[in-house]
Amino acid sequence: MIEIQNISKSFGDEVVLKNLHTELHPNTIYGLLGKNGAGKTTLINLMMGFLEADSGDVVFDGKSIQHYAHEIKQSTGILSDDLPLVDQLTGYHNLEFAASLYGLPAGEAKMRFTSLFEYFFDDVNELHKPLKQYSTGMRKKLMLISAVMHKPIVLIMDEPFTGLDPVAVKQMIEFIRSYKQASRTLLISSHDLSYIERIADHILVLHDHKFVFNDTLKQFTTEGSTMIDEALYNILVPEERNTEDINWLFEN
Amino acid sequence: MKSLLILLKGNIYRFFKADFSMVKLSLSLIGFLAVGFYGFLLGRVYQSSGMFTPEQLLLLQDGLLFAVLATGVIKDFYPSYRNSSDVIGKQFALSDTRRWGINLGYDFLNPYWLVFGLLLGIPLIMAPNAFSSTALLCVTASLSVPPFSHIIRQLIDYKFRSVTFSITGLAGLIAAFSFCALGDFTTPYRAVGFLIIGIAAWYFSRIVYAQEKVGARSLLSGTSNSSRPFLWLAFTHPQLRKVCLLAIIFKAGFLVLALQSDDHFTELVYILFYSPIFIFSYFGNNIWGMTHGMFPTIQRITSSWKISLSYLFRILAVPVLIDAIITFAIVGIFQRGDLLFFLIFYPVSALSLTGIAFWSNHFLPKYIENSFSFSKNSTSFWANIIALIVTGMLSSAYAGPAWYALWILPLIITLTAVLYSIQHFEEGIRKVFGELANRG
Repeated sequence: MIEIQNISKSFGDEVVLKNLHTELHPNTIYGLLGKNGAGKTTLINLMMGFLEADSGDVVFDGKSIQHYAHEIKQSTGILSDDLPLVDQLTGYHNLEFAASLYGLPAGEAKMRFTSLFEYFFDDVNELHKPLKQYSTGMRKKLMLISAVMHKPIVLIMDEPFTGLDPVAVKQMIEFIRSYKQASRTLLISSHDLSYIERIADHILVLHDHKFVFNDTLKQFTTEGSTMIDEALYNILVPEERNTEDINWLFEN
Repeated sequence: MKSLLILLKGNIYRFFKADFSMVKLSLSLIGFLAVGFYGFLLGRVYQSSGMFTPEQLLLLQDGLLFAVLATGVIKDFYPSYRNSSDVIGKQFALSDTRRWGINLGYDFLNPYWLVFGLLLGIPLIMAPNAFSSTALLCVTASLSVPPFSHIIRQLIDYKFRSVTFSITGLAGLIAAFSFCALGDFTTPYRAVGFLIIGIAAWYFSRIVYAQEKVGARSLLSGTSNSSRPFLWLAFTHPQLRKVCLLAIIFKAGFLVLALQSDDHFTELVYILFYSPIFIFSYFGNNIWGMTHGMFPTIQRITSSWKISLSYLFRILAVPVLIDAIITFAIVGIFQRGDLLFFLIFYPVSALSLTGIAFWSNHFLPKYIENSFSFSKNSTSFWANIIALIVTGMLSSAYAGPAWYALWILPLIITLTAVLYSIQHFEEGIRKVFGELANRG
């Protein structure tokens, strides 16, 4: 279980997160939603120890990220576009590098990432191409392989669907659904609400430095009577927006 | 012929018309040092014809040696050369004439100049008589001085860019044969040494060129070893392979040259500047592109700075091993008396410069997007200056046994740099992520 304990974070005078508190349980896929700049990426970076919180803590199974960062990272996987791979290496060597950092034996590592590569890629020979020749979607899939090859119990994904083609999206959704089975916790931050609707069990909406919604997907869509995008809009923009000022734009 | 004349005339005219003050200032300095370099070569010619007294020659030699050093340092380590369109963006309303002028100005900083100058200058320095020296001086000068060098660079960069390295290697081969043809065959080691270096330069250049053509696929793919990606990077990555080969070949060449020279002190100081510097500056300072992706990857998976540092050092392990074997072999064969010094000096300088190179990669980075090229802005100026200072301090040991105490200083500087890097490593990462989060 992951406990986010009254965590606060500011950048200068700008408050991003204030006394954020929640618990993330195993066997659950959490959808993290919010507007641009709401603090979703900041929260993920705090959870992974990339950023230091002003106050509060993130605790993984009783261990604080501040004191057990190495151990926690070894049992956590993260997929994020902000984390570059090593462009100068081939895909194979990137995965080999990550495997060595996880401390996986060479033979076992090769078996794991090769089989994952075969699942996500049509041509296994792509593995030996330099990363520079990879498209955005290919890089994302390679990053996912790198994030899960050590079978982490927590998987954090920041915008996992961006840049993927429809086939790859379907593969990704199936993969995420399967991955949650073995008592794992998944936190997915995304603006692609239709995909979130298909995979998430629980929704967290970050707004005004705090969670303004923290409940099941069913509750979020009020028992399915509302579309997920409408539900989010209703939470984030409760008052009707005045469009009179830009009427000039819509007139002939 | 007509277009060639126009090009020559235009380039000279445009060069003097360039009015970019910073460029002018740099050019004055470079021009001055370049004159020093040719003066040095000329001094060598006159040395053969007995115009100066030995004391005058020594003074001249030392002074001009400094000029060579300074020129080489600036030419090698100053952010070397960029096309004018890169130096001054298109948004600046400069006439084509001025752009060409600035382009030509930067040509002075083109390390091709140094490559041709030194590769052809090596046999010149060692040449047995004034006639052969003068002949080689003419060749060197004609290839090195703008506008000739500009034409050569144009040919190399714009027409035959992909064979750039081959031409460099070929120059090494020509230098080797020139030496053999003009040199003194009573010292067979010299001739054989240069011949081997020349052939090796040419041969490796062909391999690198071939590898470039087929892409960057690993030579060793198919086997697995957890430490391999970085341990063998100097062989599997074209950019690093070039840097590594160049560094080792040049260094070996300088070492052979220096150890055959009479004026032991100055020549050894000279090669000391080039000895570890080539490896650690050209190699260490050119791997920024690697660390750019390495740091976040390591941070993603572990928080251990020990692991981070161990991976950084792995990149240099194999090239340093090869370089050490070549160095000790050359010193052992040619100058056994200095072997002990090298045995002590090499690890000390290697450790110092490795730390500085990685520190500079992190804090004074120059990112290389494509393959290593002489004509790219590819080195970190300040990092190399720091490396030079440290090497200079290390080489001061030659002044006398008491100076050996100075060795502690570069080690302290290195230690401070490494500690500073470690201390700020996580802060730096957090700052980056903080900025990303702000943007998000």
